[in-house]
Amino acid sequence: MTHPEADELLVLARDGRASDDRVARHVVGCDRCTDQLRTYGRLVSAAEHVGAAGGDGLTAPPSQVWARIQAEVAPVAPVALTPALPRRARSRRSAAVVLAAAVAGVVMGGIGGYVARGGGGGTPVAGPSPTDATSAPVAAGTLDPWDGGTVSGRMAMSRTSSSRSLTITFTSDASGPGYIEAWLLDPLSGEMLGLGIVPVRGGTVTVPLDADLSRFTTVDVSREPFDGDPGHSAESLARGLLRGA
Amino acid sequence: MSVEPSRELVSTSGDTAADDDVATAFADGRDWALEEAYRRWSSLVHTIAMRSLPQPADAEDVTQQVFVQAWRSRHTYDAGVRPLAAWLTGITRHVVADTYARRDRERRLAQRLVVMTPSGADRVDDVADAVLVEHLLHQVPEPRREVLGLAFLGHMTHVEVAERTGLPLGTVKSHIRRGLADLRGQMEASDDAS
Repeated sequence: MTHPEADELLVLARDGRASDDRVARHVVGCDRCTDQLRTYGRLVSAAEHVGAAGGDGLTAPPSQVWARIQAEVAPVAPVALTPALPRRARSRRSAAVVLAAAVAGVVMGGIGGYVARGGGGGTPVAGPSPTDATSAPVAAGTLDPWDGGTVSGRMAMSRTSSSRSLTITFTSDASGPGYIEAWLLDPLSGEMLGLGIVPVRGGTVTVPLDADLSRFTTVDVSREPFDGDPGHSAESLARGLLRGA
Repeated sequence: MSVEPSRELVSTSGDTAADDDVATAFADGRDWALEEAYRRWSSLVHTIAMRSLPQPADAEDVTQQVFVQAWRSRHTYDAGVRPLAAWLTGITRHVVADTYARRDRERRLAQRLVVMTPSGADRVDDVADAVLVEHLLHQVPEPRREVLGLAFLGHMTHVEVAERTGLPLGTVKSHIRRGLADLRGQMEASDDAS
C-alpha cells in the first residue's frame, strides 16, 4: 500500500492499533513511517502533560537573567562609552604609583593565562568564530558588596586582538551621589588602576592591554564625589575576583 | 549598554515580525533579534530548565547560558532548516544535561558516593518535548488547536472529532495532517542542535 496519511499514523501511535490492519503491517516494513510513528508517539505523550487550562502554562525567567545575558554578549568596548579621561593610578590609601608598573609590567603572563583557560564549554554547540564581532569572555566574576554595602553585580572581560573591555552589570541598586568608577586592584600591594566611569545600571570600560592581570586580579567599584580628584575616594562599593572564563 | 529593539521589528505591513524573520535576523547577528528571541522563547527555555532541575538558581543559569551560547554560535544556525524555538530547545537539552552531569559529579565527590545514583538527565528529553509541544500548541489557531487536542488526547475517531467540533470530516483530517506536519518538523528539529 502507499504510505498511510499522518492522521492514520497518529491513531496508531495513540491507540497502539489502527482502524485498518494494513497500516500497522506497512509501518513494520517502512523506515520512513516508523520514524514518523516514533515522533507521533512523542507528541502524544508530550501532549498528555499540556494543561487543560488556557494560557501556555510556561514560566518566564526573572528579569535579572536578561541583564546577565546582556552583560555577557555586550559588544566589545564601544568607544563612546569609555570616558575620555586620562588613565589614573593613585590611591589615597597607598601612595603607590601604579602607572609605570602597569605599563612596564610583564604582559603576557597574566593575559596568556586567562586566554588559555577561555572557552571550552561542555556542550556540543560550536564556539565563536574568529570573525565573530562579539568576542568570548576571557575572564568573569561576581561583584560582592564591600565594607558593609549593598551593591552587587557581575562582570565579564572580553578581548579582541586590539583591545580588552570589562562589562559590569549591577544586580542591585547602585544609585547615589557622585558617580561610580571601576578600578583594577592588586590586592597584594593595594595599587589601583582607574578604568573609567560606570553608569549606575552598569556599562563597559576599556582595560589597557598592558595591565598585568596576574597582578591586578581584582575589580573594585567605588563611589566618587565630583571633587576633581582623580584618585580613589576610598569608598569602595563592591569588589570581585576576575576568574578565567 | 542595553540592546534596543529597533523599528526593524515592525514590517512594512505594520505587523510584528514573523518568527521566521526573527530567526533570520538572529542568524545574521542583528542586535534586536537577540532581545526579540528572548522575549518570545525565554519562557520556553526557562520552563524546560525549571522542570528539569531542582534548584531555581540552576534553571536561571541554564536559561542565561542557552541564550548566550545561541548568540555566540549563531553562525552555525540555519534559519531555513530549523525554527529558532526548536533550535533553542535543543541547546537547552544539552545545557541541562551538562548541568546534571556537573551536579552529579559534585554530589558524588561531596558524599564520596561509590554507587552511581540514577541520573535525572534522561528526563530532560521528555520535559523538553512536553514544554515544546505545550508552547507550540498554544500558537496554533482555532479550530485547529481544538481538533489536535481531541486527536491527541480524546481517543476519538476522526468521525467523532468531526461530530464534536461540527466540522466536515475532510476539514478535520486536513487540520490534523497539517498540524502534525508542523509539530513533527519542530520536534525533530529540536533533536540535534549541534
